[in-house]
Amino acid sequence: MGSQSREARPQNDLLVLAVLAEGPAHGYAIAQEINRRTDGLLRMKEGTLYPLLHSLERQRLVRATWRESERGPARRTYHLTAKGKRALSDRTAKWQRFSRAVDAVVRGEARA
Amino acid sequence: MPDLEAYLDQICADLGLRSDEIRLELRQHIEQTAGKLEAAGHSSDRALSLAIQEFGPPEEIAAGLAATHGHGGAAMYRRVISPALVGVGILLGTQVINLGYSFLHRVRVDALQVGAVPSWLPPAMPRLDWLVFAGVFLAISLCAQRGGSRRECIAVGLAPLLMASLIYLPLLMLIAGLSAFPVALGILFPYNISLISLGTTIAVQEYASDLLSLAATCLAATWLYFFAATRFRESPFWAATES
Repeated sequence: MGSQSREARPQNDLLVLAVLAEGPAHGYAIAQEINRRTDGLLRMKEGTLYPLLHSLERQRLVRATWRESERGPARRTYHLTAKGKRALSDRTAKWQRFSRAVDAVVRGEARA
Repeated sequence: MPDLEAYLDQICADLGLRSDEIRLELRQHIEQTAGKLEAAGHSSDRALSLAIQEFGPPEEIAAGLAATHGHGGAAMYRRVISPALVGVGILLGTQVINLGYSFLHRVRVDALQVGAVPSWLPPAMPRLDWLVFAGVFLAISLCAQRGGSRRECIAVGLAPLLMASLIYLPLLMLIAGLSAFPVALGILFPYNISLISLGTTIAVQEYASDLLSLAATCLAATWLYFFAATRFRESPFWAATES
C-alpha cells in the first residue's frame, strides 16, 4: 500500500472498509486480514495503514475506541459507522463497474 | 539493537497533542509483529528489526499522519490556541455585553426594590452570564478538540440560546411573578404603580436584550470557531459542505 500511487487511495479505503464490515478490528488485525484475503498480493507496508485509518476516522467513516483485550493491554479498535457502511456500498459498486469495464477491454484485446 | 523509540520519534515528533496516543497504537502493532517473528524463530533483535522494516519508512508514515492531524504547529493551534481564541472572544464579548446593559441593571434594581425581589437575586444576575459563557466555552473547546463535525458545530451555535433560555426565562418569570405582588400592593397604594411598571418593563427589555446579545455572541463564537478550525487544515464540516 505504501508504494502505491495516490490514485490507488480509493481502493485502499475500500479494502479497509470491507475488512471492517466483518466486525471491529485493530490496525494489526486489519493488515493481516487484507494480506490473508489477497494471498499477499496486496502486501503493504503496514505502517502506511495508519494514515489511512486516521483519515477514514476523520471522515467519520470509521470510529475508533480503545478496547480492553483479554490477552493484553487495550488496543485502538476501529468500527465501521453507518456513514462508512454507505460509503462501502457506494465504493464497492463503483469498483465493480470499473473492474467490469477493464475486464471487457482486456477480453476484447485477447479476442483480437 | 534496533531503536524502536527513535523510529517512533521520527513518526510522531510532529503530531502535536495526539502523538502519545498514536505512538502507543503504532508501538503495539510493531511489537505484535516482532512477537510473531520471534515465535517463528528469529532472535529478539532481528525480529524487531524486521518488524520495523515491515512497518515502512517513517517519513512516509509521518507525512500521511500529519496530513490528517496537522503538523506540530498547526495541530497545536487547532487543539489549544483555537479554543483559547474562541474563549477570549467570548469573554471579551461578555464584557462588552455587561458594559452595554450595566446601566439598565442599576435602573432595574433600583426600580424593583419597590417590590419583593430577594436582595440576593439582582446582584447574582451578572454572575449567571459567566456561567453561561463558561459552558459555551467548554462546549466549543470539546468540539474543537474532536475536530468538529457539522452537527457538533450547529449544536455549539445553539447551545448558548438553549442555556440562556434555561437560565434566564425562568428568572424572568420569577421577576414578573414577584413584581405582581407589589402590583397588588400598588392597587392599595397607588403611588407605587409608576415605579412598579417601570421596573417590570425594564426587566423585560433587559432580558430580551440579554437573549439577543447571547445570540449575537454565539454567532460570533461559532464563526470564530470555524475560522480557527479551518485556518490551517480542512475541517470535516467544510469537507461535508463541499461534497
